[in-house]
Amino acid sequence: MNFYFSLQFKRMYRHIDEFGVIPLIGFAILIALYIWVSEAIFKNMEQASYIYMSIGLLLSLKLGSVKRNIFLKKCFLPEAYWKVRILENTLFVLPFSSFLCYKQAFIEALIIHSCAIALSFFNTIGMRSITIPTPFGKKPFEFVIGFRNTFWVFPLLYTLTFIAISVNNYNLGIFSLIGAFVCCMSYYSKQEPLYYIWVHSMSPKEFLNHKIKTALLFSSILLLPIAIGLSFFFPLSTLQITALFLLLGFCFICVTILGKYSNYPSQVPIAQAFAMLISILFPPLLLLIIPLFYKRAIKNLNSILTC
Amino acid sequence: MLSITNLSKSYRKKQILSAIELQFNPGEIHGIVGENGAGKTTLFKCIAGLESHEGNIQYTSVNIKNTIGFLETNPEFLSKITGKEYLQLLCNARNIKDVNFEAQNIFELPLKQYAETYSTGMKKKLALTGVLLQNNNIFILDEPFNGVDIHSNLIIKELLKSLKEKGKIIVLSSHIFSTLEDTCDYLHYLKDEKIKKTVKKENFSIIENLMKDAGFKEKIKNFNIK
Repeated sequence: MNFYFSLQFKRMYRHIDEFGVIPLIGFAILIALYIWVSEAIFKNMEQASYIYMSIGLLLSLKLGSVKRNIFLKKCFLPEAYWKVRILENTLFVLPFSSFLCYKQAFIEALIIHSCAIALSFFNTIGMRSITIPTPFGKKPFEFVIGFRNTFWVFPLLYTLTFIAISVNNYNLGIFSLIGAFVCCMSYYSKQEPLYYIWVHSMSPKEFLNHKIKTALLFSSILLLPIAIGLSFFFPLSTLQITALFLLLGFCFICVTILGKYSNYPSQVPIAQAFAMLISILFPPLLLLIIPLFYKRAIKNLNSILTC
Repeated sequence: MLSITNLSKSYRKKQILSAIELQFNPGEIHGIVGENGAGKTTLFKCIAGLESHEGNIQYTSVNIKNTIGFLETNPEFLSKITGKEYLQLLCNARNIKDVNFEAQNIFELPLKQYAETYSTGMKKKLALTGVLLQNNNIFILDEPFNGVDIHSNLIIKELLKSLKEKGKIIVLSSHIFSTLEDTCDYLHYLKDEKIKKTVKKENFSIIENLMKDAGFKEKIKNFNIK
């Protein structure tokens, strides 16, 4: 069991190393980023502790995936398997519970730990064979797969928007909007096999336009309830802010797609990831990044799509 | 006509293919045979444009890639994509519209099920269906009979005949010699980076004997099973 956990640490270490960052610095950045995001949630939202708790628990559900658990059951005897699951879930929510304790939300910290332990006795088995219906079936694959992986996120975000409207908390509504955008962007985080690009009888320009158009259309469908809620139920003065967030969100979806294909089949390198991060803090940078990534993506796709 | 001249491929310092010369005419089925690791898949990937290479590949159409249907040895399927969505993706990619997938489901696959949950043979059949739906002119089929049941095997053979009659170019690989005998017009023996021998249907036994003559009995004897 000790070996398993040290192996997990090594894997994380290697991931950061492959990303082109000195692992110790990488860990420091991750911790700093984590604290920054957590502080931002607590600073801007009234029900922050509940949202924070939900995020932690929802993310810990990933540890209950079928493939992982089949693998773990193959590796460990039943007793050791349950120990690993409980320990993993506990360790996973530890940063969340620690921050909740720091914010003196002790009951929530206790709840998150109890729930995490309870969740270790369940996994997502059975979901694998059930085909989840999706409205995006005509244009596979990113939104089809993404929607099936995160279908539960959107009702949650819509509920948050509803709560935001009920308690007149605009920041909470914007949080839902950002959450929806992050979710849509995550659909483009995985690199597909080369065949799935090669098979297109399109020029690189047509291919990218097709990908971007599909992403903008489908993300608009998913974002629509939140956008309508924010536009109609909050004062007119917030409309411009909502429009700005929508515009930026769509731009970041484009950047994610362009970033992915400008490096394919490699992952986004550190310099590029850094540029994307900076553009979140300083959005005018997008005006420079989008054409740059577009040009690179065209060049990169040229070797795959034109031969 | 699809003609390959002086095609060479290496991975770093390791030469995989060197000076390959092949010609494929419409309405012909060509089989590429060779041991595991001989370079058959690499050759197929080079023809399809999935691998960079030296030498020339010429076809009457300007962009050969857009008219090639490539069946991989082990087709990769994305998670949480149904069989039908996979076919839709392949058709969308080639701008093929209004396909009735249920009617075209020649292998009677469970199209509403996630493709990743299919068996090896079912995956192969799904990928082959996708390639067929694209209305390609050239078919590069890497081990199309691998893992497929007898009934489907017969269907594939009939499909190949139909494609041949329609004047398509078909290049395939297989380790099952009887299947090659049934389907191919020409066989090309790939060994030590090169096409060692090309024979017509009536002389397939030459290649069969060449492949059998690999001294394996001696190797088994030396293995010294206890």
